[in-house]
Amino acid sequence: MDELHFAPSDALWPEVEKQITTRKKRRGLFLWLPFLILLLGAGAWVYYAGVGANANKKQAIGKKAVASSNSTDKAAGIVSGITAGDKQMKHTILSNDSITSPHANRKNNAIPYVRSNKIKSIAVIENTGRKNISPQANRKADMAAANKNNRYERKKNTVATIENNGHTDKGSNETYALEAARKRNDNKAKAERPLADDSVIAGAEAIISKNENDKTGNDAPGKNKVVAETPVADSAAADDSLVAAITPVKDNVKRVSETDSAHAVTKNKPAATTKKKIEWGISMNAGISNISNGFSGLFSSAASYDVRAFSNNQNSAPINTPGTINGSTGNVSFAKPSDIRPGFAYSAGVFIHKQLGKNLKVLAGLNYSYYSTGIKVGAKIDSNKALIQYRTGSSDNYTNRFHFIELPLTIEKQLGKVSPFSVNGGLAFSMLAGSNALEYDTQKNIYVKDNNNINKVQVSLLAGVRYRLFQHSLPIEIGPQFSYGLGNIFKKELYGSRHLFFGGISASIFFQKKNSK
Amino acid sequence: MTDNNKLIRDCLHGKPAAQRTLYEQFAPSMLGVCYRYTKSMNDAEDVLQEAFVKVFKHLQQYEGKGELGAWIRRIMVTTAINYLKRHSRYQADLSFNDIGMHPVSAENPAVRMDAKDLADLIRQLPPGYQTIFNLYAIEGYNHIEIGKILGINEGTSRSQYARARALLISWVEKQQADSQKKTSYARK
Repeated sequence: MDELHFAPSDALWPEVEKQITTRKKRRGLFLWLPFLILLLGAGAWVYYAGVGANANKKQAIGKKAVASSNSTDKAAGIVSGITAGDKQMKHTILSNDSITSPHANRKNNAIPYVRSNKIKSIAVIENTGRKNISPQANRKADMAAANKNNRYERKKNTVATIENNGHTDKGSNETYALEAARKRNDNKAKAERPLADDSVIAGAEAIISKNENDKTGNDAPGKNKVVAETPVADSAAADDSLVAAITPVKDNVKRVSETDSAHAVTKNKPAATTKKKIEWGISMNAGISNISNGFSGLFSSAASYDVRAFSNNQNSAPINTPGTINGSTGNVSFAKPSDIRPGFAYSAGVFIHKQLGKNLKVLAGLNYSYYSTGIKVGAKIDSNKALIQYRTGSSDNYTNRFHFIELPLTIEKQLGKVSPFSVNGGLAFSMLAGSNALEYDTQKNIYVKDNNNINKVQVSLLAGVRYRLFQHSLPIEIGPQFSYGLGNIFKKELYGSRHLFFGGISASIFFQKKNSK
Repeated sequence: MTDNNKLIRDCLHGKPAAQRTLYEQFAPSMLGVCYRYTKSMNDAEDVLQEAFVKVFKHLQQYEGKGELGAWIRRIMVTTAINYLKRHSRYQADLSFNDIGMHPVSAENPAVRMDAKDLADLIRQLPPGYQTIFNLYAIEGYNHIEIGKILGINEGTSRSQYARARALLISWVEKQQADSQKKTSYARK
């Protein structure tokens, strides 16, 4: 018979070309997407691990600074006659005019320079055991009383107990004290040890020894619990001695001024609220998948739907030996179709989540999912190489593979305030990216690969239980997960519905942002 | 053949010009194939479009054995049959009753007809008869293969073909008789 020839309409080729191009793009994306997701996950892991390590480091440094500032407070307390641990002292020190000392060219910078008219940094000491109070002592008492009006508190258990060594020579006393104090201070500063009382005491010695030399009518040698208060000195020597006295605290005070300012800020301001933002993570599932005709058939071990379809088909040949190509005269018999067996399934992807309440959060993700089922087939039909067709039979195993891009949306509810268990439920919207699945054709009694018969958009029901590990470092939730396709996987519904479902273990890693202060 | 191999290679490399060339080379004849299986030109073009997408998708499976045209033609036929099964307007008539074997009627002399006219006559057959007639008489499948393709017995294929052939012959004879009558009236 002669061939018929017709000219196709002009609109036909652009449609063919469009479909060919779309298939290629989809295939390319499908190939690269899982690698991209895994790469993003690995990069995020490395990044957040580094951030976490740095944060821990900073916290450790911060703690050290606080510890040293506490010891600084103690030293300052000693100097001022207030015990360490007095919080008010911090403010006092902070309130100092931490001006650069005139001795800034020295090693020890940022020495809090105590002005002669100011009392703030000077300890008030209780002088015990005196009966005859000299004018100078009176003045000291007046100054002490004036100190009371400051933010300082007088403490009975004051600090420096210095023994008068009985020096009488003013100059030698000063020199001796100054040198002794400087030596000790240098050693301490180099070692950067927390300030010890000894260094302050040494410094105070200088002052006391000076003051002792200035005393008149003091007939009580012996132990004095003193530190001079202020009018520190108009003389340079006095300044030097005072500077020396408080030199040991210079570095710590500097640190105090640096760190305590932060502490003060922290103390004054309310604790930073941990505002819940959208955070993200990665998830992975692994398990098995299969096809069922409904919830009731999920764990059914009965004959698969293909076999039932074969039995119901009025035109089916008798079930005898496997079909032959060159059949005898008479009816050709065919093998019955295969049972559908479960196959391996997995998925991987990223998600974002936001806390809705104390125990409730919502998650949205993007996954690549792979599902498979297994069947037995006979020989491949080679008469038409353009189509993939198999005879029914049991000579070969064939794996039906489905590749999906999924968008799961779930809500997760924690079971109790401190419980590590939570339950989740939601929906997943999937788009078929590719498949090699064979569908049993009841008319021809063969298996045919035709992706046009697969419903490319699927909606699945999700449900699972999770157990949370490593709550405070890098939370991981792991537990059983289940999904069930609400729609048919295949378009043909002649012999009942077919739903793709998955059951397995799910693991999610939550990357938490550290709240910055 | 060499030209076709080069064309196939270029198509596999995704060259749009080569794909267009392949389409334009085979589309007119393949549209005729699709036309024989369907009831309208729109349906025929739908089948052609679907089939050509499959051609380009599975082109890497063509191993070079046999002509490229024959390979593409097989895709057209299968796609046409699937199309008929999927669409409800064909499903009602696309039934193959499992009738016992009937003796084939006596051979009648072949009637010379224009290809287009014959194709139009074939398209007037019920879809079941039309499909089997096309597969056997036009595409050259034997009844065993037709049985496998359509999922019917060999005997059913033979009997349906015989009925289709008998029907066609009766139409052709009737047409010829009518045309002779008209001619004689015209002379008078």
